[in-house]
Amino acid sequence: MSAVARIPSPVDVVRMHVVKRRAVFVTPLLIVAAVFVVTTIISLALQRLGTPMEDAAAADGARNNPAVAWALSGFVVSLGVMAVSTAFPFSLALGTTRRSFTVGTLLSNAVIAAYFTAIFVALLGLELLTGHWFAGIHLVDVYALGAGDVRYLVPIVFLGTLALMSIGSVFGAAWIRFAAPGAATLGVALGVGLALALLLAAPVLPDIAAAFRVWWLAVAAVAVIALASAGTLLFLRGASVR
Amino acid sequence: MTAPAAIEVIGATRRFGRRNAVEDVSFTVPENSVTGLLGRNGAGKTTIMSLVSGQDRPTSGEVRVFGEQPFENGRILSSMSFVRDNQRYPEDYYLRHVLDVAPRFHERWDAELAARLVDGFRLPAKPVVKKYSRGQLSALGIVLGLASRAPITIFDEPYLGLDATARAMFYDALLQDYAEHPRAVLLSTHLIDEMESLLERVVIVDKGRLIREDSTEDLAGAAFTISGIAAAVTGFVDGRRVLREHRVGGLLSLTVEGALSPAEKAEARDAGLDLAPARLQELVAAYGADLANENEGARA
Repeated sequence: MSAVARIPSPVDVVRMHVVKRRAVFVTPLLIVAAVFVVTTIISLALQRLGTPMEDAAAADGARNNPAVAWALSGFVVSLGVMAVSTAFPFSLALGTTRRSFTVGTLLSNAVIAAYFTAIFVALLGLELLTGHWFAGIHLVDVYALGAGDVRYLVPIVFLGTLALMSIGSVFGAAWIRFAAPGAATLGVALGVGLALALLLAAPVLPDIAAAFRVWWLAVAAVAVIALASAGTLLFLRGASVR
Repeated sequence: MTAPAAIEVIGATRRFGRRNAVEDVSFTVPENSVTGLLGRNGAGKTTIMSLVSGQDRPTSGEVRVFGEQPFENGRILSSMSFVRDNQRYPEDYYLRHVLDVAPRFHERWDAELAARLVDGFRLPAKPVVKKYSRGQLSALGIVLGLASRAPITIFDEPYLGLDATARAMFYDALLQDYAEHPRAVLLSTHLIDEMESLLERVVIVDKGRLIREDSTEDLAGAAFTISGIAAAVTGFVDGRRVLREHRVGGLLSLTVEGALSPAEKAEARDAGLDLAPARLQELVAAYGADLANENEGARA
């Protein structure tokens, strides 16, 4: 029997990741629902304490609530870690190349980021349509997610999710390559690197802040995604599954 | 005529730190054959299978599958199935996820065979795969390997945790499927007696080194066991390479390399000694013990 003709593509790897629909597609909805419940309780409690939510100052305060972004970010990073740490050995068992697995994982992360973006756009639409859920509740119309402007919301959620998943993936790959010390060393190295960069840039930080443009964040996210994906491939190329 | 090689391992060494897990190993697995990779725990069997399946690279030497090196070679890797004895599955994966995904990676996947095996092994739809018992994980690995119909199918101790009925089912399924769809099967096992009839060739390794590579037919005459009164046995085998020794009181049983001529057999019988061809299981155990003795001798 000779070699087969069809080589699995990165799209097959995407399928491998997203086939567990409940974990990938339902869990984030449950997290958003939980955040919505907590936000609603807090908002109603504030209203009962006499805070007028129709007030512009109160609405401005409510827009400072990044709960949904924070609540999902941990889940998103964990998805990225698991996408590599547990799926990579299975992917090799099925006969995938490391390159194909890395590209497929990046594509899968992009599919999940697009799904998250669609959820947030739909939620923003509902939030604005219902006058903030009929009770002055700010879940998605918050500063961290573009303050109700869909032109900001889409790149923030898509690139933010993809960047966090890519960071998770590179940590998963470091764990596969060097086990726990690998992931820990990478974490420490990133922390020290960021601290040093901040230290070096400190004298010019006011100038940078003055010149800051929002699109810089998008460029930074794309750079993080590219670097993390390259790092993932680099770690996985040298990894032996044992 | 010799079948073309599906797998060629040429002087492969794999080093982890200062330790050689595999050292200068060379062997060939022909196309359309069932080859047993035999050896004690820690002999290097799984490392060799990792090298063959492109899941790892040799530190030196070479591995060729269908004439090409397998590492990061999409064409070759997609022709292989290698499920480890401790195979990890993606988080939150249920059986249905595995059966949904595997056909996308194996061009010749047989869904009907997979369903039949799942049924036969009584693999449950729940819980998640990571909560499967040892036997269930082995059964799932067998389903993946057999149903893949991969031209190179590798099994790493596929019987772990399986009961006698499930093991018999695996042997039957392997034989039947192999007869209908011949391919190169490489499997590691410690249950040599049980699986001997499945194997056409064996590769014996110990401490990372190749001990012997041969057809089971040729190996059958490669050694014999002789037992009787210790002094008579010792006198008879004088000058021959003793692979294994087993002593009970004044009785001695030896596994000895080589074959006996009809005259020598008659001489042994006249001396009241019992002769029998060494079983594959005895031979593998003997080679392991033999090498261990040599190493101890070298250290002394």
